[in-house]
Amino acid sequence: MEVVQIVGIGIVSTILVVLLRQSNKPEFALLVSLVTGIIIFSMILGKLKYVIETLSGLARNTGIEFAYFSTILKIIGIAYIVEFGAQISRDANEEAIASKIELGGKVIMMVLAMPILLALLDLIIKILP
Amino acid sequence: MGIVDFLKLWIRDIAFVFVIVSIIEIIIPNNNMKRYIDMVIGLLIIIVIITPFIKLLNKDFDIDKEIFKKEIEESKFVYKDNMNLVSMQEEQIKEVYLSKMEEEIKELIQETTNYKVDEISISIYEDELRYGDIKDIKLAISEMKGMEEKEKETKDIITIGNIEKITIGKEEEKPTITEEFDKGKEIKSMLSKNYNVPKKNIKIFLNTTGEGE
Repeated sequence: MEVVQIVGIGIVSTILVVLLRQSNKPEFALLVSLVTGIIIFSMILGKLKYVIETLSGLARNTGIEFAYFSTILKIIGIAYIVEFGAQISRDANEEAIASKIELGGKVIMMVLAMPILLALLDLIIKILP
Repeated sequence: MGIVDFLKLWIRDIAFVFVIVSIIEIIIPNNNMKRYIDMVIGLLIIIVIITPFIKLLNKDFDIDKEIFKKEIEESKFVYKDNMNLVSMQEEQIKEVYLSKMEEEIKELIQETTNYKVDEISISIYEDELRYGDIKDIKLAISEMKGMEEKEKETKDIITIGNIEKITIGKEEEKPTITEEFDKGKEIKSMLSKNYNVPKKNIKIFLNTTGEGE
């Protein structure tokens, strides 16, 4: 019944945030949404681990190298963290900071993907007679 | 490997990859990061599809190795400025290693013989071929005694203030010294066996302060 917990926490914090926004201390709304995000994420962390481990087992069974799979996992993790940070900045009406966070995440993702890309290009060049 | 096996492995890989990709598609966040993840997944699928054919056409090309090489190049590029840090870290690692080795030798000698080690200094090779091997060992040992005597001995050292260091192998007149010379030889051969150091690079000095009384 963890879905109920997660949704419950979400609804309660949403109501809190709405109330806080209307009160004379709107800056606490941001803190509430931050803490809610962290709580929900830590609740699903164990289950996420199970999913990732199952996927790793599947990936080991195939002929694909495990390094690619871990690269993809890293990229997904970066995407989540970046989204978390960017959403919080957006909530606080800081669109500029949010887009900077996203830029940083994109660059790091590209750096992670670069070895695969370059090796693939090398491969194509070498295959051509 | 027959053509049937080849096709079987190939199709199995493709099927597995698509299953994994569809699960990954579920867990990726649905914002504009999705495009980047999709790109990498696309590269992965291309690699999985063409890898068997590279092995057929070009036997000495290993894409995993190539990717690993690129990763090393990348990290070299990124951490070029951090080389200073790396050398500092190496220095620290060397220090820790040396002190660990010193402790180990001390314990070894104290456990196997009735001498205790007063001072020890070790130097190691730093060329790439034998990195970490011990170059030479210098030891200053003294005979182990009971607790009271030991205390007295340290007191004596403070009052007398000079510690005679005798190189074993030079003094051969007294019978007691020759006995200890044998002991030193024993320690030497033990150390050279355990740590693969040539015997001529091990120097053992005996502290004989307590024996003068």
